[in-house]
Amino acid sequence: MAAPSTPPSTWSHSTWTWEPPVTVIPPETPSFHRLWVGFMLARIGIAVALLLLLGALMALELAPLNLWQLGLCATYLAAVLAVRLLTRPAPPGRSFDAQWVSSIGIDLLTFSTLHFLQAAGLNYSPLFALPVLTASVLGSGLLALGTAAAVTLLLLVDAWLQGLELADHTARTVQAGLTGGGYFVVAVLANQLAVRLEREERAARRSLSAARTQAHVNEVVIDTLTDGLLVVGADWRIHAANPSARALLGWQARESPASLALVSRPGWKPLAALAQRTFHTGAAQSAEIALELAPGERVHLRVRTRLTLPQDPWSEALCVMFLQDLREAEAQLRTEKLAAMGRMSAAVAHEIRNPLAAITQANSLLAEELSNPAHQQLAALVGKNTHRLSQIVEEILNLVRVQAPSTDWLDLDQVVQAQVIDWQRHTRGSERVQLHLHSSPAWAAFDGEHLRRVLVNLLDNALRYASQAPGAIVAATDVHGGQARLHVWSDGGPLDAGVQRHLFEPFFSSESRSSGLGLYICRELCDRHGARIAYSRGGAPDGSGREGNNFTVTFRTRTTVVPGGAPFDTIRA
Amino acid sequence: MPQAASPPHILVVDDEPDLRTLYELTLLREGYRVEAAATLAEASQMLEQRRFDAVITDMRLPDGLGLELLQRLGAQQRPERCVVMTAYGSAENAVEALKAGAFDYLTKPVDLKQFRSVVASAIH
Repeated sequence: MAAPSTPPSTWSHSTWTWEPPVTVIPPETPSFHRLWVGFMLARIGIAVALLLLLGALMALELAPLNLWQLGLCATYLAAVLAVRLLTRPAPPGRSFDAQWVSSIGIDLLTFSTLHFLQAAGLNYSPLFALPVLTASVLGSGLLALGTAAAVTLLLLVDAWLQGLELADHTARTVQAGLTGGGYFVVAVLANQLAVRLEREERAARRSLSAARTQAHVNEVVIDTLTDGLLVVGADWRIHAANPSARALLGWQARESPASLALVSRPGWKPLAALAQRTFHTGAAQSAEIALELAPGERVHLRVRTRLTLPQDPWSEALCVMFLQDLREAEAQLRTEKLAAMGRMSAAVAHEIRNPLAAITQANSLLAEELSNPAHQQLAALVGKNTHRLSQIVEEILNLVRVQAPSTDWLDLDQVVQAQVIDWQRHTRGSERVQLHLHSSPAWAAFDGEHLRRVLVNLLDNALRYASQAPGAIVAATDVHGGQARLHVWSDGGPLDAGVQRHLFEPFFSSESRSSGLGLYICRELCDRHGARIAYSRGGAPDGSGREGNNFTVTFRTRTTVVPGGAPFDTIRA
Repeated sequence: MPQAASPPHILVVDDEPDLRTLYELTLLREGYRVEAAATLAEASQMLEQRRFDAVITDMRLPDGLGLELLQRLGAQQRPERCVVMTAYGSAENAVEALKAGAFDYLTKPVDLKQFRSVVASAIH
């Protein structure tokens, strides 16, 4: 028997503390009700049997007709029926109270009367088993012994009375004594069994309810957990997955976990490998993995695994996987890092600004005095480099200045067209740019001024590497997979793999004349608005089949106008 | 360009000594007479003593904003035209300066040609 508060063995090594709430168990358990009904039905059965037996014996004239005796049996039947139908199940109580009279007293009275009368010459002493059992199973130990004592007394009195009439009364007295003793034993044993049964039933009921409560608590915890939770068997079958895990793994709700195996999707292979390593080594694992759920859609996860050992021969070992979305953690970290870096670099940049302005201005004053071409060249060099420095400073300050972006819904085609034309007006060599806008009627989530900076950075970059041919740069928009995209393509040569890897990092530039912040700023701004920027080598978006470098921004997208609040760019047209 | 007996008189207000010197050098080369002040207080003092043909002031000064100088000149109905120097990229400052009655604004680092033409037109 398990004590109710002892947790099952599966939790024994867990530090999860769990004290089941104490509940008041109602004194009348359903099993008492069942037993009570059983005994009452047994009484009715005995009453019917007695009536039929006596009636049959008298009808067949095997016994003398005695209406009084039949009447007694009929009365008994009526009484037990009345008790069964009219009273509510209640224990006979600790002592001889009303309940005892109605449930046990009537029996004793009837059976002893029949026994005294020796009705139809039958021995009725075995019938006393019923009241004794009723008292010992439904009532207390005292009541059981009391009832057994009453039965024994009645039997002895009967034997004594019989002994007055007959000469040989010793045998009857001994028989009565033995029967009475037997009933004492029955009363004690039945009472012990009943008490024990009830105790076990209560314990079982309590631990069942505690287990149910705990299961429910676990369900709530798992459902609301922000980390994904996955339970995988050794056969790769997924036994359970919480909503977060489903969301992380890009898993539609209609597929039930049991129908899916971890190896069923190619994108989940790293997870399957980790589960295999867990099963193979039998030890907990932890790893950071990237899942390629769809082309171009990667999820970075920190995965920790634990193995549950089989509890008995019928259960198998399961691998429990905890999935943590690294994007959120990374985004949080980046925001904090950027804020700290921002404060620092803004302070530095600000201090650099005035000396730089002085150098620039002094240099241009000096340059006006110089007549020697070699000296003029040197002054030009100083001028060019101070210009570059001040550009870096301004970009840092700009990046820091926009700390709280406001995301608007932009009519992508309109905004891109206006901004590209604006850029062309200020930039030499910009007649090489072609526009191909096909995203209408998509609305992209971004800030107008930020989009201008992304676009200008990408176009400036493209201009730096593109050829002199017309259409060497293509700015295009389209909608792919329900998401609006902006492409800035140029016909420059392919990028080195080493350059590609660090393309979006700050101050990583293969070009000595750029600030090294352009693409980094683009990525930062995209991150702020939930957009993604990526580089690819591919054909021009105008369909001409020319190979070139393509930068693609994928936006959060709507195809309908935002309900409520006029979108940013409905006004300008 | 006025090359008369009394060359135009210009007041330069900037707290960076080097920048101040550079403005002076640039303007002297054009034949102007130049006075320099490092703070708003100094500038006010000089303005009380005499009339200038133009005032060139930095936006940020140790004891306040260049805008205050503008407002003071406006309130006193002074004829001096005022050019404000702002840091590059702070467009809102430039707009504020124009609203407060600045003749024009220049962004740092200053392009010499631009500087000269703006100052020349401020003197008319």
